[in-house]
Amino acid sequence: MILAASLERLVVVSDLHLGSPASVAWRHFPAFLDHVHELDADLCINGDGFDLLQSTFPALVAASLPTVRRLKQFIEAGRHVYYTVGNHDLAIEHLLLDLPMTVTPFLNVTSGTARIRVEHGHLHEPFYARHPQLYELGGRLASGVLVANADTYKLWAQLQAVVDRRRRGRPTTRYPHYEAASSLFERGFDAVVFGHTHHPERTVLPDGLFVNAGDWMTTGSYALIDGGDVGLHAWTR
Amino acid sequence: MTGMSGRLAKALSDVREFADGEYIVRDGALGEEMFVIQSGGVRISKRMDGKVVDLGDLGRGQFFGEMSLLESLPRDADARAIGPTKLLVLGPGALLLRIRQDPSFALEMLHQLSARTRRLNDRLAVALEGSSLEVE
Repeated sequence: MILAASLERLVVVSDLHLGSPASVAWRHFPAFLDHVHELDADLCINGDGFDLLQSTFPALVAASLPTVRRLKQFIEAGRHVYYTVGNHDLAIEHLLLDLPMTVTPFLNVTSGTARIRVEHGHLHEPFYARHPQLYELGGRLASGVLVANADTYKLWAQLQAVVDRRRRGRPTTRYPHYEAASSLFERGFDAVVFGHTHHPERTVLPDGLFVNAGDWMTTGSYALIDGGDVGLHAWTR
Repeated sequence: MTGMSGRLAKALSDVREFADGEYIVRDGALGEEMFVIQSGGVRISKRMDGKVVDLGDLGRGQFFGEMSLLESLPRDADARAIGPTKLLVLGPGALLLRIRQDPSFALEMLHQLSARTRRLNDRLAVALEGSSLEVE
């Protein structure tokens, strides 16, 4: 298991959810890989790249093939691909291990003089941490709704944004992902790049930099680690 | 998993600073704390037959002192700061809370311990090469 890598330039994308009826990644991501190649960067798919939880296997294969083919070319051109496992792709972890990329639960990146933790972040979601089976059941039930109408994702995203705002506004507890980031900063990390929440974010916390790479459900976003700095960008091409 | 347990973990762990060359722990001393390097570096060494043998240097994010914490045995080597060094200090209770809060820490510990065991096995194999001794 590879848990650490020294990389000057790394593009991090989260939550492609290839296979999910609500994801646009199947349409845009292969072209985005050309952009990553132009950036002269390696790539990390930071969890939930493929989605078996909210799709069928035929849908997953159909949505994934263009990306997998382009990923192969990307790797054959000398780039490295890391894949940190999330909660929607855990069931196909063994399949991922057979692809020509480094599959890992998280990645500690040294870039410049900075130490950066890249991980999906689902374990920092309080409900998932306490009740992973219930969380998965909820995800499966939601998949039926998504198949019936993919636009219901937008409703879910709005609901999540409200829940997220309420969590951040509580005076008695800290936002769980900030709490997790602080714990990592205490262990000598300068920055974290999470995913999972689908909310792209770059916030300077008192002890380090917090970045969420966002998702590829309606538009695409990515984090770029370059010489120790971490930027957040939207994919607009 | 987060929230209160995170603050408890902070309350139960502390940060200590050491100057260049300062001893952090000494071989044979009692102590049930482990250390995670926040900044700076640490040299691990052992006195053998009157000579000081450097066993290795550790950098940011790496840990040491876990053997005494896990086994309640005296320190097995000296540890000194390389440059100004800041360490997160964990006792048994704080370690358990931290692992509960951040399970990836446990995986990193296992990963580093596995790498150390592998290096020791390699050294042992080299040391035993040509010797009549066998390892069970």
